[in-house]
Amino acid sequence: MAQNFSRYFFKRLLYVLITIYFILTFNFFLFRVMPADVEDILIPKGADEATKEALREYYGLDRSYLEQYVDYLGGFLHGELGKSISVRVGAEVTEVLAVYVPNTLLLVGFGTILAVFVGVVLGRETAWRRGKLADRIGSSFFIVFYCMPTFLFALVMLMLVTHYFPSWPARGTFSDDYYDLDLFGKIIDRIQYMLLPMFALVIETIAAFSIVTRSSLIDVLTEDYMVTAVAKGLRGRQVLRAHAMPNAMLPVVTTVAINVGWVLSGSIMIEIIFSYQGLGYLTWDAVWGQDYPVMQAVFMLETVAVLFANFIADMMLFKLDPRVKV
Amino acid sequence: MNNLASVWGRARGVAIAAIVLSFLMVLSAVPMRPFSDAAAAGQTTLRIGMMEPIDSLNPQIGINDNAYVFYGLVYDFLISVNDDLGPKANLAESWYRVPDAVPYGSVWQYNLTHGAKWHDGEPFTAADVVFTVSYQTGVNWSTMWAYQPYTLLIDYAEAVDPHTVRIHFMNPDTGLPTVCTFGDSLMIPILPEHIWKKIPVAQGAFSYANPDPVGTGPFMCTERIYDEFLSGNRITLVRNPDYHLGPVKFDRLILEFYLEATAMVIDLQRGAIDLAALTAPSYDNLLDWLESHPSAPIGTYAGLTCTSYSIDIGTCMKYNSDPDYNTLRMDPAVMEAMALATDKEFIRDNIYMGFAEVGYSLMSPIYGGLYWEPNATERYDYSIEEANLILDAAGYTVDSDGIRRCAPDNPYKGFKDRLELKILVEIELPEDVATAKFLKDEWREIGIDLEVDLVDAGTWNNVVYGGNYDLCISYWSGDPDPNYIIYTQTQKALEGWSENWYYSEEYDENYTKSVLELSIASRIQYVKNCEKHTYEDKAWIVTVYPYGCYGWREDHFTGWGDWGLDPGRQLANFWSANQLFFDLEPISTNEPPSVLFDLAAGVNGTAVQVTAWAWDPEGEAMTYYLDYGDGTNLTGDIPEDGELSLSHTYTRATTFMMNLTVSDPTTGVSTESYAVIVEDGTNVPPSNIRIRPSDMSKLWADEEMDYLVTAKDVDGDPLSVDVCWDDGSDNYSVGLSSTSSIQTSEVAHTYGMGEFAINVTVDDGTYEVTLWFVLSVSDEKPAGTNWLIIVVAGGAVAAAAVVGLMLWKRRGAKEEEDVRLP
Amino acid sequence: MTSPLASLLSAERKEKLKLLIRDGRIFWSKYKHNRTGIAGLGILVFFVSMAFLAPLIGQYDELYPPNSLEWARVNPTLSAPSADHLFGTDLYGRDIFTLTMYGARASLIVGLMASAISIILGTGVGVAAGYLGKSWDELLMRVTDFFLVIPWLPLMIVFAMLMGKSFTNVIIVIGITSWPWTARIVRSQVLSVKEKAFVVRARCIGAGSFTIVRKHIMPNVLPLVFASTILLIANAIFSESFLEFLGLGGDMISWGNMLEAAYDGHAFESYAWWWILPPGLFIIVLIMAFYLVGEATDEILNPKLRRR
Repeated sequence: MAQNFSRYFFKRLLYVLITIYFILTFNFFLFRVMPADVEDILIPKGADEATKEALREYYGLDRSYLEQYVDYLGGFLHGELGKSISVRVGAEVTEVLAVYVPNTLLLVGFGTILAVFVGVVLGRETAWRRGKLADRIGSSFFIVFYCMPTFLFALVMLMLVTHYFPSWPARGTFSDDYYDLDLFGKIIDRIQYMLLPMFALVIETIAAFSIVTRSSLIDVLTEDYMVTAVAKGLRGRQVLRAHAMPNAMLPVVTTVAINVGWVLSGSIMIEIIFSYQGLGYLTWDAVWGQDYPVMQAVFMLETVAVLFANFIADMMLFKLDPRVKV
Repeated sequence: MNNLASVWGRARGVAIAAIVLSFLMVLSAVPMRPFSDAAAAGQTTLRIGMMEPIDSLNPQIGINDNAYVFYGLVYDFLISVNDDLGPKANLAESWYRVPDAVPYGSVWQYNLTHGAKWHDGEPFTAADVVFTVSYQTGVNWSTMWAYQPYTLLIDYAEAVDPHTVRIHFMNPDTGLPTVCTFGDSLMIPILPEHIWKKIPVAQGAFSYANPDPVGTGPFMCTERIYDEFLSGNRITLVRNPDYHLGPVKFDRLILEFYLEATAMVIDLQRGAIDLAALTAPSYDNLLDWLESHPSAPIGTYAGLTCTSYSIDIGTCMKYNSDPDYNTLRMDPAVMEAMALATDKEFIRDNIYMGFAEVGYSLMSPIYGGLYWEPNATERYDYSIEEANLILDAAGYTVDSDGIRRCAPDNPYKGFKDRLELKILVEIELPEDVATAKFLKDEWREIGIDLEVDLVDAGTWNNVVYGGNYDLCISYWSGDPDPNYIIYTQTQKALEGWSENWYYSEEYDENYTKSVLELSIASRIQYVKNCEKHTYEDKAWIVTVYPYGCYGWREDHFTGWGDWGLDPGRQLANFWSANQLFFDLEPISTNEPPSVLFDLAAGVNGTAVQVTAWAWDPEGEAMTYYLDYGDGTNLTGDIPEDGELSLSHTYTRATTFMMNLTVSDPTTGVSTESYAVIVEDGTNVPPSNIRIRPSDMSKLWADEEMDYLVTAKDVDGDPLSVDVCWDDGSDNYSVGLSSTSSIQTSEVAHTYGMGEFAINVTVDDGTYEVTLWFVLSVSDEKPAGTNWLIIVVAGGAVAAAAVVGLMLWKRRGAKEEEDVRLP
Repeated sequence: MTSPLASLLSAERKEKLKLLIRDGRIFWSKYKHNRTGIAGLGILVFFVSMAFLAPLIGQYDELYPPNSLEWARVNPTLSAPSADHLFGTDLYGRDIFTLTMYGARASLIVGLMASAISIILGTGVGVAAGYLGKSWDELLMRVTDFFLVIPWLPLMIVFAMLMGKSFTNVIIVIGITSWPWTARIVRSQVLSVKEKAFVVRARCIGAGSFTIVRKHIMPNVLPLVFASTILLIANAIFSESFLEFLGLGGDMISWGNMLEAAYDGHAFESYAWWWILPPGLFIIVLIMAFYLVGEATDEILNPKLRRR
């Protein structure tokens, strides 16, 4: 078993690395296809040829695509991701990312944990009470929130909160005096600013998880071995906990992995609406400003995150589902 | 199976703990976070709310408006702009045209201020000016694009001595010395040589981030400036205490960047920011809100900006060979028709919601005497009929779909012969987008098919400065001297600052004359000619001059001034040392202490107890100075509970007038009282009579409060105390037993809102003493309490949910026997 | 040499048609009992009729087109619902009721066309991967996974920037970012059918691959695809609202556009709920309707679920 696992592990890891390579390449070409020239972005009011030459050299644009590509890959391995050209002119992309990424990590991280647990519990309870009133009401709520576009919910919530609780921080990442606070104060401050966006981001994920858990649990509950278990005399909740849930959880694991990608995308809307300075917001800024070094880096980050989420999900599935063959 | 179950169990445990912990932290912390205390941490701070974070810390790179505001705070110019937009001394204390220069007016001398220092401590000298000039002129001129309209005419600068500099102006075409009319209006930030000489010119112009900006300005950056810039949230500046024109009157200036105008309005309303630069719709909302909150201490201003902000429709006057574009746009008949078909009043009223003025010249009325406006015959008034007539007369026929086709021999015909035009608009500017869509509908009526092309700022810049478009919507703003704006329509500006690629010989003639003319009156005439040409040639159709809309807190700062009368005080004045910042004074929100100084009484020659009670609304430590009235006095600190009790022996039997002054670190309050001293054997009247709420910080209307009534009779007589509340309720009467020390009686009472004169009468059988105490009760509960309720309610709901869930589970468990399998 | 018409109506074809109709009837008789499915279907009918009847029911389209800013000349701006304007007016005086009616068209068009693109691409890839097996399967699945991994919204934004902002581009972008999902489903279904007895027998007889695919695999795959299609439509409308809200859509009146205009026009600060509620609510309801119908169809057609 262990040997199989490590074979599987390395095989999948290899795939991940190959995919990352293809993504890097895709990234590179995608942004070279952008309609604007780098120099034109940087030079708002016109400059002469000599300056353009100097700039081309500075950014390495005077080299052939192949050379640039090699540079790009090499730089990536070294952690050099270039310089921003319009979002924060002249700043290193890594510096810019260092400011925005932690915010999103907090938001998405906490949000996903919350969503998984709440969603699974809700899904489980409604599946267990399938057909009864609790299930019907619950499922209706799930469907409504699943079908609701994220930004709508966020906007309505924003509207209500600013109207009824004007002193609650509804926009931004942290408060004025953030830097003057001690560690504890900083944590509290962050949490306050994070609550609303996280809630908006996560409401849909909760609905999604609930639906998946519910349907997969219902699937499991109809399996033959479940009826056998009951016939053998096992008690209700015990059956649920020991036999049904573990099997039902397998699709949930996959869903969590897929969801990471979704949540990263959804965060763009939420972050714009709540002026929360995270990766999504940076993506938006960078795309509009045609700041392709930043865009490349952000795309990379997001796809790699999804890749690894999937990878981990695959590993977990392998360990937990005896039916999966290498 | 077991694996997953145990993993699940453990993970769940951890997650629950994390969530509960976070929740608890929020619960415990929320009431502690005040949002609007501007004087937090003991520093006075001016907070300005703006849209759009600045795009670069480097004054050669940044182009958005807020970046310029930032540069004007950190850097100085030689000469700034005063209230009425005239020149004001800054780094240059005085200046004049050097008399023996040939031609006169080609060399200006600036006598620089002594004692100005860079923020890193280095002294400012003429060498810095010389460096700043040479960094941007000569071979560097074409690279250093940011201040080209000024550096165009500069030949070189020389330092006469460490505090005197001369700038030589030249004609850029001939290289010969030439007159400069705007030597007192060179809007170039002065850079420190010792820092910038290390930055190569190309980098300085395009990619150097300038992570540690050092200027001579009234504000300095903190060490966090680069991080703050990266995060785009806010920028913190601190007062430059050694500023050569005198420091400002507050400690910090924070620029808060909002991505959303609504958030700015809300923060202004609750006092989290002191000044907000608003968009027209959010300003409108603010005005609505103020109508229902007339007592809110918010001042507003909406009017022409000091930067002559205008919105303009541009026609590309350059022939482009791209078949996508339509050269018919340059047909004078078409240009006139487009101008006639632009309903500027509709745009002003519906798109700018009335917060704008109809536009004519590229320079707005803020230029005063320099502003040119067409008269009735020169003006092209909105008229669809006239536009159609003109196009008809020019040979444009109307096709079956309503779009016009030009005559076959039309000299402007290029790839297209129908009036199909594209207008380029920046998608981030909603008013421009709305204007374009409006024009699309309107111009259909004159037979023009206008396609709206929405692009981002980067693409807009590429296309416009590359000259590859039909029409665009742009904006212009200018410096106090008109040179900057009118320069952009000259030939020199083609391939540079010109956006519409306009060229006219007459225009250039007038421009050149305006630059060389020494007589102010004549210069005005040339400038106006330029404006007239721009208007008549219609390469720019100026739609409106949008107002700058601002709101500010009048209870946080005074000294705002009138921004209409004195446009130089507007926030938009970024030409350094804006007078506004020097006039603004923080209003101290510190409240003085409240003091109750009790009546004292005693026997001659014995120790008399003198009592008082003091309370500071901010809870600050207080000191006192007590004058006993007999020539002696005492100073000390007020104890923490506010109860002051002192012992003093008087040596005469009379009534002394005592004076107590209690001070918190900001202000002091004086009160008087009396010490009634009697001869031994005479009855001493009741003394030390007082009534006060037990906790002043929790006193508000309709809330029950415990009041402490104290009195003392030195002789030990029983006292009868009567309290009249002055709110119509029954009096409170109590009898105090016979001891000779101070006695306290506690009584609860609830007041409504208002001011009450509480009457306390104490009778010891011989004397009846009546004292009045004035109590003011407000109904404003501090925000903290609301929070407590909300959070408690939230907690209750959460608890109920958890309990409910558990009960739910229990119910499910009861049906263990009948497992419900579908 | 029978005429084309006659060959069209050949006995074989007629038989197939009859079977199809019979299948349809069976489907409908099952579907009837699914309450949520019926509800969803009813809502869909409502919206489709709204889309068709818009020009008739919508008000005031004689003067200016419903989307024109010039309405500000004649209508009150940002006014609450009233007798004249059932849903009130927006910032430029446009009648929101009319706009909402017209908006149904955009949503339905996007839903149908974007999913059509997605289905065609996805089915093609899925069938190829499933049927051809082995290395083709590996390769195609890697490509599919690759596209699944890229975050869809940033990708869509970049495509919109590249291709320009228009309604057709929104359709294309949604189509080409959602095909991987279909491909996966189709592939797994093809895999399960491939090993079924009748296919093996067909191969033994010597039938060509293409015939097998056409005659045996597709009929078994398509029902499942049909159910997925409906869910795909829901997804397409969902994504469309996102893209338009971000300003990447075109000029066509749609609910997403209306919400974008509301956001830019500060409806949320002015609490102009009448501008926000109709488009917002209708988006949710339309997506839900497709979702319910899709779920109901899935239940009936999906062999796994049929057991219940």
